[in-house]
Amino acid sequence: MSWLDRILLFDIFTGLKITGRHWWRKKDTVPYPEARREPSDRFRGMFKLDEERCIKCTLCAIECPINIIYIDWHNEKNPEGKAEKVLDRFDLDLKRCMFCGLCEDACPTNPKSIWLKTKSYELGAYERNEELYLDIVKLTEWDVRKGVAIPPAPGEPVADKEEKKP
Amino acid sequence: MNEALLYNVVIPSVKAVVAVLVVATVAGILTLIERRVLARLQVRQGPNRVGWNGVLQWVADVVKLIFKEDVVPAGAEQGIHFLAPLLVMMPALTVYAFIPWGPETTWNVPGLGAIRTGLYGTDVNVGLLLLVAITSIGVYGIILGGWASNSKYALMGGLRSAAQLISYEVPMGFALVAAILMSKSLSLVGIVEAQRDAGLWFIFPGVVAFFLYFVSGVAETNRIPFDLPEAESELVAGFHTEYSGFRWAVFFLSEYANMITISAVATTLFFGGWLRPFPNVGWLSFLDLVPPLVWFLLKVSVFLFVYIWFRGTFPRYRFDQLMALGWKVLIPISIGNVLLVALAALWGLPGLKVLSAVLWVALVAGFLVVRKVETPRRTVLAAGVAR
Amino acid sequence: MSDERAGTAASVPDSGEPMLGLREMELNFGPQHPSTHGVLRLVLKVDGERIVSARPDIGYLHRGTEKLFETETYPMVIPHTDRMDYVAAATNNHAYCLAVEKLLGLEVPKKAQYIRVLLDELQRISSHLLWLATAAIDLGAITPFFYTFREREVILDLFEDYCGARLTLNCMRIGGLLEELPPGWVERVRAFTEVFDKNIDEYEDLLTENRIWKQRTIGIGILTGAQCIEWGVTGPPLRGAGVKWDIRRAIPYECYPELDFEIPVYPNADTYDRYLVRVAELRQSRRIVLQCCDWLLKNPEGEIRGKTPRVIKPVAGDVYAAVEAPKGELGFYLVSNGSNKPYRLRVRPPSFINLQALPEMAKGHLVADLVAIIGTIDIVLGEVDR
Repeated sequence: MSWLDRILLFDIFTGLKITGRHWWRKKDTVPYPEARREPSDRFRGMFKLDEERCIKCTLCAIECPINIIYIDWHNEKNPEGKAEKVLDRFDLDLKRCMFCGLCEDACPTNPKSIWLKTKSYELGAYERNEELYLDIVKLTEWDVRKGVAIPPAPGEPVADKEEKKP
Repeated sequence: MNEALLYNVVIPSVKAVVAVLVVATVAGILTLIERRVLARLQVRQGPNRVGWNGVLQWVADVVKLIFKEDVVPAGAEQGIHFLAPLLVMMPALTVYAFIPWGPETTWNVPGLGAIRTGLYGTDVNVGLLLLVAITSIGVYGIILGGWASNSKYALMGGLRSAAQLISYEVPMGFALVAAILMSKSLSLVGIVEAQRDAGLWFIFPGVVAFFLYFVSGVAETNRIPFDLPEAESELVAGFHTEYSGFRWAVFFLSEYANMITISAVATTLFFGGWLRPFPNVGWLSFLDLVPPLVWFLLKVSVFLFVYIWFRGTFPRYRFDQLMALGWKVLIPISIGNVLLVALAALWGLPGLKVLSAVLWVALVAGFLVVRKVETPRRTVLAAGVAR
Repeated sequence: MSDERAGTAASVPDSGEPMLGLREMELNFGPQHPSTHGVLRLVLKVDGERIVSARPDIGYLHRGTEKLFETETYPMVIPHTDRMDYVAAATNNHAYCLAVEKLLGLEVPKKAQYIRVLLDELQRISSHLLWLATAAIDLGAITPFFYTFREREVILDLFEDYCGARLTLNCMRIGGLLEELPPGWVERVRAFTEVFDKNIDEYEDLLTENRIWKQRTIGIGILTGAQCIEWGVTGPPLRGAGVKWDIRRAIPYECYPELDFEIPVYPNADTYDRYLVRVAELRQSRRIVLQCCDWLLKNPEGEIRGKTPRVIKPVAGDVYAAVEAPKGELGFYLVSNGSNKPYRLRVRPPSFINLQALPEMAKGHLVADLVAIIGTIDIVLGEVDR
């Protein structure tokens, strides 16, 4: 820094210029509830379960690093007389979930039976033990109750997708 | 009505009430403005929930602070802890008794006839001296508040504040002396009138004094880059760490009232108070259509904006560096400046004009030269370059 | 705070001490202090504002992660590594995956290597931006925070597009990566990186030459190169002390030998030089990202996961693998007993080791400088306490 610099406070004015310039810049934040940003397609958010597709293999519960998926099932004879696994319990303790997505990775069905790519991130609740503990009903029907349209599961056939679009 | 009663009791009382209410309200609104302006400088939204676009945010803040629990820490000196915010607030509001917002005007009040009075509480003939005296009382509140809180952080904040405020009184005083020398008056109204008579805002011959005054003013009001007494990242909240609720609000209000004071005094001393630009140039007289009060408020708001702009731009000085800046840089410059201005003032108005010309030519030339020989601002151009 | 009045004359007991009672005051700095970057607690002995000694008290964020590792199978460890240095999850994933791959003798496909490096460097940029933001706030400059976060947000959006999370990425898998790149992603990374240089200029205009910033940082928190080596300090503090040591060049991993970049080194070992190192690293990381983008655009085909066995059961043995994380050398020492879970997984966290040098750096400085010093070593308490 030369002595002229020191007297004329050039560095000070440069700083003021930079911040002053931002007066006219576009704001970078959005007023949240009115304007919201769409999560990307791969965003890991709220869970969704498709009971029909689920083969009750419990791989998701095994792969879960913190063991928050609880699955119970029993065998039942279906009308054709074949033995079939029926879910008694598929509980997910959302309040402890860290959204790593390993359960979705582990799911062997195609399309996935349990997946997180639902583009929903507003999971706040006033009570954590009841509201953030998801049973089968909550896992499969939360979108119906809340009225949000969620994208199809990863790997769902294209025809299926087109059907859902309108 | 009895004329003496009217002029000595009624009008001053009305003015006092109006001044306090206006300043308190403006200080409240200023918090909102500061947040919005900062938000804009920082490319974000700022408070926009309460009222239309957040205009009522400050009301919500005040209401919240009034109803908030008033916590007094265990082991605090109850009495002094209670007294400190008042000690800070009272001088901050008292100075508005003699800060002139506009010239003497005639008001037609129904039932009372024409009343001739100025837009100021009173014209004290040693106004500037009184101003310095009263504002210095505020530091007691800060020290005592810091000490009485029974907290180490608050204590350190209070001590920092004491040292800082006392050091910066000196250059500020010298800057004021320069203004007094130019106007040959201690009355704030007299100083504005001197600028009108000279046809010259004192910023021209007094640019150095103005700079010194403003820097010391920023330091006096504990604002970035001199906000050490309340440095958030170091001392949590400095002297008001242990204050909450309305007592904290009083500290806050005083800080903003002080900001307005400093801006108003800078306007009065160096920017012609309520005068329009170039008050003696005839062809600019259409500017008189704008009332003097508006001119004054415009100038004050520019300074307040600069305050906020500073806050949005600079890092904070360290304690010892701040003292070094005050004692080793500002005080010598201010003494030299007083000598320079005194010499010019001895010559009279032509002297002031010559001084203005010299100073501004030097400034502009300096900027041009620096721009030409400007070294690269960014040292990190290539990797591994030694400093 | 029981001895609140300690240090003031009134509180000094009559114990034969001098009447003025000038003695050191104990100051509790944190864990709820605004600038301790989380839950660090420092017990300071101060003489007025001058620090006589500083003792870091850590453990407020201890979650037993290393013990937890032993109860999880190898793939299940990855999400937990995210949560150590939570502002640089990709490098954590990377270091762990490297360790397991080394033990398994797995070859990672070239394309996966480039994507990993790309993610690492984006993560380094985002971590350094966060550091710049918080370090500036510590010294009172609030605005750089918002400018750096604006750019960091873009990077986090890119991460979200790639792996679905913004912070705890969980983006790497043993032997490669989680997912194929989404279409158009590389182009977007490139577009961001190309304009990013201008943003760095902006931060520098605000800080590099600013007299207050220089006064606050030059000569503060000196830790010489020799001291750094004694304490095991790595990363920008080491390179800011004139020692040219960077795992990316010293013990190369992945495709770093094929990339053209420099290791910024500054000699003065103070806070200002560490700042300069980090800003220079922002520019170098940007260069690396551009090169990775170009390579990926030229070679869009290729495997992203090597021949990873379905169940990972490495042979018994131990291995150490390290990467250059934004904060320094991040190493994983892995001991396997042949089962599908690690027998022991020890982390060498750069934050923890760099933090140990804090008392050395803080001695004799003012409380205000302490804030600058905590800022300059760039700690993340999640990694310190684990």
